[in-house]
Amino acid sequence: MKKTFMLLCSFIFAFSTLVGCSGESKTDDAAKTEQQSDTGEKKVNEFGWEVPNKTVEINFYSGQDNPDNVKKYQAELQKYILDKFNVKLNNIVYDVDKKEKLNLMLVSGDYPEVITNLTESEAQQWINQGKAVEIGQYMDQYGENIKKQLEPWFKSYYNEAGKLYMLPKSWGLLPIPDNSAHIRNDWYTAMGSPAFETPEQYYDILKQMQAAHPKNSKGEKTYALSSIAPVTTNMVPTVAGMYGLQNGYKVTKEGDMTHWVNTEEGLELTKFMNQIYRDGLLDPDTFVNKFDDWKAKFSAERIMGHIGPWWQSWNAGHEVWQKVNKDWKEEQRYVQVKLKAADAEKAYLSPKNARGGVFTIITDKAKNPEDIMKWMNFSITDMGTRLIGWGAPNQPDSVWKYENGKWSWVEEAKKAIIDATWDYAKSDKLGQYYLSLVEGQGTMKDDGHSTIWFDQNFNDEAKWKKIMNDNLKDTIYDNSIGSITIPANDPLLITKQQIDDQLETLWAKTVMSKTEDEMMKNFNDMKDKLNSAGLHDIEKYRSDVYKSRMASWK
Amino acid sequence: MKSELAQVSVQPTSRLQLVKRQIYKERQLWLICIPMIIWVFIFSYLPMYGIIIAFMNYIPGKPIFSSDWVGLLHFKTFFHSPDFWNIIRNTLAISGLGIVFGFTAPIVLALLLNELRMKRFKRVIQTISYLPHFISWVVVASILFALLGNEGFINDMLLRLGIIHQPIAFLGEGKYFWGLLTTTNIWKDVGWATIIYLSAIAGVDTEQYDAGKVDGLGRFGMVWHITLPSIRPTIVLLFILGIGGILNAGFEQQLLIGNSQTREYHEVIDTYAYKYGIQLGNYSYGAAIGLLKSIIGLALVLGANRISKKTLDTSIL
Repeated sequence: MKKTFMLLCSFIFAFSTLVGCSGESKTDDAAKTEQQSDTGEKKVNEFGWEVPNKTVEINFYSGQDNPDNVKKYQAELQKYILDKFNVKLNNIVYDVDKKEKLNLMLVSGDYPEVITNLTESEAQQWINQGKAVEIGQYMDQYGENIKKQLEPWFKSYYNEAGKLYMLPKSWGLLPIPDNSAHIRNDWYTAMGSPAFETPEQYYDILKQMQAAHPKNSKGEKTYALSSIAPVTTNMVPTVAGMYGLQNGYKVTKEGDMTHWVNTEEGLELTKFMNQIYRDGLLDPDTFVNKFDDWKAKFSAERIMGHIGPWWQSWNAGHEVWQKVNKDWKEEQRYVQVKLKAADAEKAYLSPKNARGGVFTIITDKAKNPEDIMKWMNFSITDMGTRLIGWGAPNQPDSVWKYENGKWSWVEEAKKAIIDATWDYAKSDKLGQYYLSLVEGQGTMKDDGHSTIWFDQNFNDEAKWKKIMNDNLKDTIYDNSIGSITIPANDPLLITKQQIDDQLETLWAKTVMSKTEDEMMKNFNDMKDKLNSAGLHDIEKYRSDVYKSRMASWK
Repeated sequence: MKSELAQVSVQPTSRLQLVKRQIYKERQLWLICIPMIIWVFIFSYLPMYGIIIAFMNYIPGKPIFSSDWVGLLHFKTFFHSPDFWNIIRNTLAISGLGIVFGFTAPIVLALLLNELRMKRFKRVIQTISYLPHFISWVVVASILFALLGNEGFINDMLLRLGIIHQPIAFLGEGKYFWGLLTTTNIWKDVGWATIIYLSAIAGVDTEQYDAGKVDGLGRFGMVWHITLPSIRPTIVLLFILGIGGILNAGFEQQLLIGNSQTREYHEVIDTYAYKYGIQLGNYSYGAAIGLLKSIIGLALVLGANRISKKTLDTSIL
């Protein structure tokens, strides 16, 4: 009896395994044949893409993120692209520091056929080791759109030996602001909207605002300003921009770059922050806050102003309030405002890198680099960019439609952006931007105004976005030449890290000085320590690269 | 002269024979040990060849021996780093405090626990003292933020009582960091570390206590003259091992509790090697720092062992 039972079980197991295997192959075959037309001719889809007979699979690593979330978010667009293009894009992320993971990949040899979101120096590391495919060889045959779209920067991606290994992602100049000062709108208008222009005048208003709202509804103390650590990275470049510096550096016409610590403007901005601290109006956790800590305070109405990216006060401000407060009114929000120091010629708040700050390489694991090139040559087009940036069209939850070669917005989605009621969880679900490899973020060439960022397409119609753009329109600048990274394995990289670490510590100490004299002493000590740690070497390196780019990137 | 030479040449052979004979005699024990010896050799000794990258400019992904030989360059870079003295100071200070207070605290606790007469109460206290050992540093850091943050429980209480008018930045000022870390380490591990002392105390012959009683020793006298001398080899052994780990001043603690404001006081050799070696991809630099640390650690163990052998006649080797 026992023997018979075991025999039966074995038979069922073996049979079901065989059935399962054969079923899968049938499905595969069916899927493959589906892509061929009855006549055997190649099928071209509505996007003008010649659908390959065999599924093209592109696995790409894109950095640190939550793998489960990314898998979930990319699923919808992934399926659409597989169905329509017979291309399977698979974005691989790990919940591990990107630098560590990349090094581990290099050591172990375990990496996918494409890697994206690499800084120029990271990409160079892969190229130096012969692990990146030279893609210049495919340009004439498969790169027509790539060449066209990347003008006038295209030649700058070639190395000195005339070889091309990397293509940029998020290239292009989108003339919308990124960083600015922010002020609590309803409280500001209640003050009679007094005019201000300089950081000092702005702080004066924040001070009055804090005096009017010294505690929040829970009785917790309020502050004029706060920030997110590391402050010298997250806030200082924007404050320095208010004093006329570019991304934390003073740049001469000849291309000499001086770090803000070594400038008069650097001292001025430190004095500005120290004054806020000495008045007891700088959040004492300013140099410790992680984003979530800061968000908790900000959404609890404890911070009057902010200096940083525009989305931060949206995300931690009205986007929270409209969910938790039934009586929320649209004026209850922060608006983004321009600040310019009295002596500054211009405020440089939003540096743009039109050449692209991150890059994509095809690795030596790619069996058919040509297929990957073909896909990138499509996805870099304006229509490819829409697909990657906005998600699949013509679906029940889509934000756009694409019919008979023409595209249009889904009015409901557009209205939600204009009314600032769009739920960004929907963007994730649509897979917006999750399958990006080489798409640009500037205005598209075919209509002159669309952009990959779905929510940035209606800035003239969206009231609050328009206010922001109008306030900050002359604070945006092209910083492509000034966007300089130090190559990996260059000893200067250690020096830079040491300086970055020391700067944050020493500047925190300077800002949190109890008297102006103490602040001056701490500032000078900081300057001396950083310069003796090699800050001048960094300045020289950057100046040399800047000047050489000025000559070669004309 | 001839006979002396003959003696010298014969001695090694006889020593070898002695070893052979000894091994043969203990052959069953050696057989049992062989798998472990092989395991240790493969997993602990073979990978050590990688230490060589400390003297090279190793580039991840390239074969080790194709890298450029740079000699002591990475060691020099570390010595000339602007953080070098701070890192050494912090490492020695945090470890020193750990040895002075963290090493003695479990001995004291074990002696106190041993003096408890109510067995049930003793067990409860012991269990409670072990528990923090199982709490991860992530949780400990959260507890510390809730307690000692600018808006934490302690500051809130002190402000309400009118003892202070401004919150004290316990976690934001470097001067508190060493004390905070030492206290937290003791709180977390004191109970766990008592286990070994309690077992050593349990091994003390009870007749000695009876004799002590007869000689008129009180409870303190018995602890001082009987318990402590009896567990001295254990204390010395653990002290020597502790000295070897003097440069292990912590890692997760610093990364989780430290911040930019406390960096001058919290950066230690391990966190520095991680940040500048692993995170920046400079494996050679990280390996050089790690190797330096190991050499100092080994030298300290051997030194402490020698002193202990001379003064207390106790050795771990």
